[in-house]
Amino acid sequence: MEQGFIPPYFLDVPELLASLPKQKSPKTGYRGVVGGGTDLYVQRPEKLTRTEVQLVSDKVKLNGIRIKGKNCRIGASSTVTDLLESEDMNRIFPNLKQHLKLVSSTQIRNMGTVAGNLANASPIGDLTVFLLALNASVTLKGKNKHNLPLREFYLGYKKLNKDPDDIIKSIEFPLPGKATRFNFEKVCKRTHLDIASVNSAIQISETEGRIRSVSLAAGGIGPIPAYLAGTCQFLKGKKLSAKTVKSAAKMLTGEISPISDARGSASYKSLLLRQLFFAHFLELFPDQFDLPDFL
Amino acid sequence: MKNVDAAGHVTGKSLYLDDLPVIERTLHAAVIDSPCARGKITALHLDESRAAPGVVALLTCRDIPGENEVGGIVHDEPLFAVDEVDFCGQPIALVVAETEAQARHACSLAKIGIAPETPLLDPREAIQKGELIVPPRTFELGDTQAGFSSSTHIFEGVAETGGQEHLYIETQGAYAVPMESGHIRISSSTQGPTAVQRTAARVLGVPMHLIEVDVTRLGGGFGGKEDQASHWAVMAALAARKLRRPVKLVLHRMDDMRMTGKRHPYTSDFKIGLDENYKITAFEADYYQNAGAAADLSPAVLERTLFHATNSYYIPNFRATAYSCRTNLPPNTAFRGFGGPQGMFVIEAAIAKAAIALGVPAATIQEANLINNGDEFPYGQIAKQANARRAWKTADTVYCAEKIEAEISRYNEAHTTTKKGFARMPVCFGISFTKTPMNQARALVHIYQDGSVGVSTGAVEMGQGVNTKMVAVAAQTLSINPGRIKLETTNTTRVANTSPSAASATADLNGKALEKACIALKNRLAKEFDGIEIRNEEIWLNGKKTSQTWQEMIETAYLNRVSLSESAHYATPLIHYDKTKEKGHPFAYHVYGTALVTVTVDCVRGSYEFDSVKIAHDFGDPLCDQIDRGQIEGGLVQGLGWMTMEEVLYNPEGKLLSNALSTYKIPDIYSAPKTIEITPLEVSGPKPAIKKSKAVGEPPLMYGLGGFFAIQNAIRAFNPDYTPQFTAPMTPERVLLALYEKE
Repeated sequence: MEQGFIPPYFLDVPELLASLPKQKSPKTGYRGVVGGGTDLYVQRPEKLTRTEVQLVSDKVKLNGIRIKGKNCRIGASSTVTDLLESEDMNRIFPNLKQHLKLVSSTQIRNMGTVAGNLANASPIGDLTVFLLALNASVTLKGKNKHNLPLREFYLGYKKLNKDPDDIIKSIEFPLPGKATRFNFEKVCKRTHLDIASVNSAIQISETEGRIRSVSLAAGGIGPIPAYLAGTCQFLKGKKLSAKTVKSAAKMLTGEISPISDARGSASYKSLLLRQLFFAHFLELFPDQFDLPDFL
Repeated sequence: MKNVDAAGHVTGKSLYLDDLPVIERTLHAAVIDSPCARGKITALHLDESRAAPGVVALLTCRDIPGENEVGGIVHDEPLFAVDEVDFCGQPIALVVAETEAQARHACSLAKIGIAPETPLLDPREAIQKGELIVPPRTFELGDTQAGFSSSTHIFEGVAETGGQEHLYIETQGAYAVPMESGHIRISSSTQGPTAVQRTAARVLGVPMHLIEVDVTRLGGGFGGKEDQASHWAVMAALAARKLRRPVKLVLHRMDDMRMTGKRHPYTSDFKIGLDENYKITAFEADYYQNAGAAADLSPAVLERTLFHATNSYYIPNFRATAYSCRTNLPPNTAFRGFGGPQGMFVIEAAIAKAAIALGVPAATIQEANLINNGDEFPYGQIAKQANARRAWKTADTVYCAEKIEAEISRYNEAHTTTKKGFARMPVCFGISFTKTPMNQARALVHIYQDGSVGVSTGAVEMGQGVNTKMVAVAAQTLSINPGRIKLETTNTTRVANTSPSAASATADLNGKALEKACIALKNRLAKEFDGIEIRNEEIWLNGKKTSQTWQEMIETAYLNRVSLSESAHYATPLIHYDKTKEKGHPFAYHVYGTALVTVTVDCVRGSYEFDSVKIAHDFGDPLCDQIDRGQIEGGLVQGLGWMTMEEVLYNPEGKLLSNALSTYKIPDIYSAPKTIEITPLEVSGPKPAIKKSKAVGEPPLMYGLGGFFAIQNAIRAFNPDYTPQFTAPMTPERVLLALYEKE
């Protein structure tokens, strides 16, 4: 402020915010609930400005990231910046900052919520793919409260497995074990502040040269953010070798149904997913693999 | 000298069209446009729109008192569609309402019946159906047949470049205010105030003097507001005249992207012949320009493609033909480089193709053919002060090009997952409007009684820093402090018959007129005061400093009833062009340069980063060094964007798919080269350049072409089996598919 970058009225912002009238009795109903609004207000600005909405991003109950026993619970309204600033998250995912740098921009990360990214049901939602690989589940509350694995949350393009009245309260995922590694990959036309052509996340644990467990998710290769169950099943228990990775890559292509659109042709997206699959292993096991091993 | 707008920009105080104070009773307009690329209009159901809350009027082609015509070069473009539509986004009607939200809501209620026909999207298909905007043009030099028969090597191929969205930060917009006696004052975000004035007068059926156009500044133009700002300004003026109320029309981003034209995509065939020393003996090319549904500036853009078909090279036997093909896309228009980059891409592709086949670096062919003084361009102009070789050598020596190349080979041997690529990009760009009559400008200078100065020219400030240059010209010529000088808005009542701010020529043309006006004032003051001389704010007489100040002298001049105002006109000397012969001397001078581009390609993911772009550039004697460097950096990054990530996509129905910032990507700070270095050539500028400071707006964009060829070279380092395709943009998709081609 002294150097004239920020106008003096910024000092009064907390007071101004406090003086705003509190929103009364929250209305129920899916259509009216808005998290950060970072995509909704871009896609449908005119409709939304005319609609009465319930803004939930500052609801205390819907916020916070907590470790509880062997689980991590992310409040629905937590923003991407909340994830970035969480000590727990950074401990669990040492490369978190690098991964989330690929997700939108600082301004959007400050506003966009985790539940919003899930409910938006974009086939290329970055956090959705991230959480799918973590075997996350969502806690929904409407007429009653229940928990649903995230991989069962998507029924079809922008179609959610929930009642219209259900809202997401929180997202839970089991804490990864010690031998578990995680990686997130995303390729778009522009590296930063762009929507993925294809993105993918993997959680894998390996001991004594064998793959003990694996969860693989990808976006941009079908109508919903996909958990690639077939490839996971194939990999489980196999020896961690270039041969295994190459065979799995062949399976992978059979598990997806990309379409051609502004983000790339179907054949590109298939090839790109294969490459990102290779990238996971190159990143997670750098001493063991080099790109030519897979070709 | 610092940019005079810098403080205003960073504090948000600079005024753009949408910042102008709104007058009471102002109405807001929004456009109903065609959802279909081609077809007959069968029904216009606009009653619901008309009846929507707040709607005051709904205007169609029937409400036009003058001509329903906005075409500049060819009269082939209606303001509002009549019986048929020719492109998606074509304006059909204008809704005018009390608020902007009401106007936009009313637009959404319109129901337009169209019997759709299959749209024509491909220029090669268009030409087969005889859909040409204007007859083709051919430039020739020497004898290509003889040239090819003496060639040792001949290569043929296809080169294609895509469109480019201007993406000016400020969208198109205008604000029209009715004054007395039928006079309408239009504030417009336009590069061409006179084009807006002329078009509004034609559509409204009034003389030009009833239309006043005023421009403070643009939040970017890049050519997109040279001709296509007129439509919106004319619509606002039409409504203002009819309703006798001020009317404002500002396009939303997606409307702007959908309704306005872009850089012309081209597809071209080339044939190149070389002798055993890699001298180009002959070159032939056919260029198919995708003009869109109306002429707009396409014929002029087409012409510049031919003017720059040989880039920086001398080619003794040359034949090039260019076709402007009518399709069902929004009319494509001016964009920084104006057809030049499209022409240069083809010759660079031909050289690259030959180099790959012959197993030599492209640089070997490039260097062997650089143009020298006395060589003839295909359009008859003889190269003078040709700095092509100087730029090449400067880049080579200052940046140790050989060392860069050696480091890249070592890097590529040592790395399996990433590869580096390198390319040199020489540029030669002609300065002047290729339409000779446009090379004129005027300036008006007032010295006020207190010694402050007001300057009006035809130049439009659009972020390129022309106002700063005008201040510098006036300050240097009058030899007074720049702080005394204010740049007025660009206004058709103060400076009439302006050429648009375009062709990189704005500072030269308007600066020269301004210089003339300032010299006239200086001479008048000298005459009045016994031959005094102004030296940096001091008044000198007979070689001695006097005690008089500038301010005192001006006050006295006023009391002595000396005119303190001056208007001057400048027309670029020497230039001429004969279209019937396609020969002449169209350019006042050429700007040269060479860029060295280094890129790293991620061979796992197909993404890439530009490590560095190192440029030797022909500034002349820069008037505002910082502004020129800013133009070079910006032009380069815009050129790289066009060559890499910027992809204008339409579906088979002619609907724009890359219709928002989420699907159309321009380079951000992370995708700009990590290093940009610029070294000036040590050579003075030519006389027609203002204060010998060479034009800088467009030439640097073409350094970006080097990015395409650098990526190609990196791909070849990974996949020797890759057959190079000269299809830009080189998106991460094309890169990945190329890396794994023939796997």
